[in-house]
Amino acid sequence: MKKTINLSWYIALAFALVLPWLFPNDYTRHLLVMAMLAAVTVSSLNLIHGMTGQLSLGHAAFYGIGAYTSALLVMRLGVPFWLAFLGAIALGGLTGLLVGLPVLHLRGHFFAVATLGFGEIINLVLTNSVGLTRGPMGLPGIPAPKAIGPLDFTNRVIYYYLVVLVLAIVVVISLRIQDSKFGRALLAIKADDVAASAMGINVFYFRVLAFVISTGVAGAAGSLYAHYALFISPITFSTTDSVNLVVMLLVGGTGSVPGAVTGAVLLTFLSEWLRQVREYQMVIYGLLVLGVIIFVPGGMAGLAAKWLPALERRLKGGKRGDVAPSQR
Amino acid sequence: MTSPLLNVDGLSKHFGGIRAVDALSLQVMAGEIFGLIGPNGSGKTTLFNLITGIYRPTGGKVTFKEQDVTGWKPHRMVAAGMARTFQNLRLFGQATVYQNVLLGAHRLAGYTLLDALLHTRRWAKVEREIAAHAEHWLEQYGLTAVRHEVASSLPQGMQRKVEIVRALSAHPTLLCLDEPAAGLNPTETQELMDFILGIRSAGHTVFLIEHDMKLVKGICDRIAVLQFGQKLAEGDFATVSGHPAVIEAYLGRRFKRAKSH
Repeated sequence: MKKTINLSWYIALAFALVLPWLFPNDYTRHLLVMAMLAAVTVSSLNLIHGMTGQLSLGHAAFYGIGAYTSALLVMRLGVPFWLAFLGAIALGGLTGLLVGLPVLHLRGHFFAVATLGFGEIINLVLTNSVGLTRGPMGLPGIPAPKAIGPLDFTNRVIYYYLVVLVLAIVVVISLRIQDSKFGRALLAIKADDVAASAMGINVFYFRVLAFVISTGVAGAAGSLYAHYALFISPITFSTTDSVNLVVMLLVGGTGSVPGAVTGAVLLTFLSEWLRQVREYQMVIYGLLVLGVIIFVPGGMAGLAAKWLPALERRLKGGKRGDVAPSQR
Repeated sequence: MTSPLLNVDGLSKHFGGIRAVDALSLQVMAGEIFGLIGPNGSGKTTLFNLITGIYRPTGGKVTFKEQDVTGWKPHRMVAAGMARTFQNLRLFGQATVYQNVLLGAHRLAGYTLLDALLHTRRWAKVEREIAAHAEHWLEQYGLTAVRHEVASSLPQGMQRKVEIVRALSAHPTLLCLDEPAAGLNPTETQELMDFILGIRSAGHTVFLIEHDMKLVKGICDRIAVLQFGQKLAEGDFATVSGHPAVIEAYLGRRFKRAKSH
């Protein structure tokens, strides 16, 4: 059996661990944290969109639910961060279940429309329940997680490592799902749900399961964001942000676990870097994304799948014969 | 007399005013190859979709292994021991032959999500078992050489075979084949006939829809003829092909009169 977690993942992890030391300034380190947070959220979107083909256009809302749940639990009820973090996962998953149950047995685009509507509703609720969330004024003064021994989470690098740890867990979960009957069933559903059901796959159950895991992970990312930014407001969890997550996944490569991470990191840095061109930032960003979607339809993962085998061949001394026909 | 493996009793499916299947009854006995024939649009595939759970019947009852399975979802029917193929091949085209057959064995993979996430011993054992199981099926039906080919790249005849092997890997008691010979040349059809006979010898009951009379005549123990969603005749090939209503349905009224003179 081939190993689920191969050498390139360990290399990527090692690289992620040394990154903050290569950029010893606060600004870049802040971007690194944001990139890793985006990677967790985009990975969670990949669990539903990449694996089952169902498009969630309200994923930022689940991220928001996680952020507000965690922040409010800590601030209003004095719950320790780690418990609040679990609470954010639970509530994210629970809302995913409640949204998924009535919609996921429908075929076609109902799910995308329903999640889009749900995202808007959540945003309105966050904006208007001023008593609980302070509405558009936002929620300031969220405490960082309490230090564990020498691990002071107000330190950017330490927090970065916390996010990388969570990302690593999410990646392992994604890869292990992919490599089991669950991943195979989800891919079958994505390709042809009628044929999948004729294989004995309970299409509805698997879709709901994937969505609950996905929204639970989004909740985790939201919690990590809240206790890093220390201030949250509804603007961060709007439909625009949901769409941006979809774009990150598209650029990285829908359905690919490394693609989701790559897309998130790449676009986080790209959009920051484009600040240099001021008012043209979004124009150029949009054009670049459009270019990738048109010219590299499989995203970065598709590109890698195309070029890596050729590279491997060259490295191994150009033996052409030993490549399986499926890789042509 | 033993009770039938599959008992369809007064089954109906109406689409608005159209009675695609109309109070139809038939029995499939364990161990036989049962053929369903009829003109295009006579309701054969609709009947298959009713039996395998893709459609919900408007009325009537389906009993499988002496259990009322009326209105069961497809995945429950597979669990109960019924697998099927489709008229227009429904292979997972981007996946390899091996992956397709592995998916067929989905219901045999008895582990939980937690097993998969933690890579427990049970996960490893079951994954090894179903992989070996898939390889076994591929070998038994001569597909080992193409196991890593992408399914959609294979010739039509081979794809049909892959689809049947995929259905077989779910260990069905009853295998439903919807026009397995469609699009096959005579040589491929001959191979298919031997293939289906082999499946029956391996202990599976086969229920098939077919237009190819050579195949139907060659391998079916009993045949039912459908027209306008109703059963015209049932019996062995000689009985059915000599039945006046069948001759009329297939060849028209004038032929029937000419023959009876």
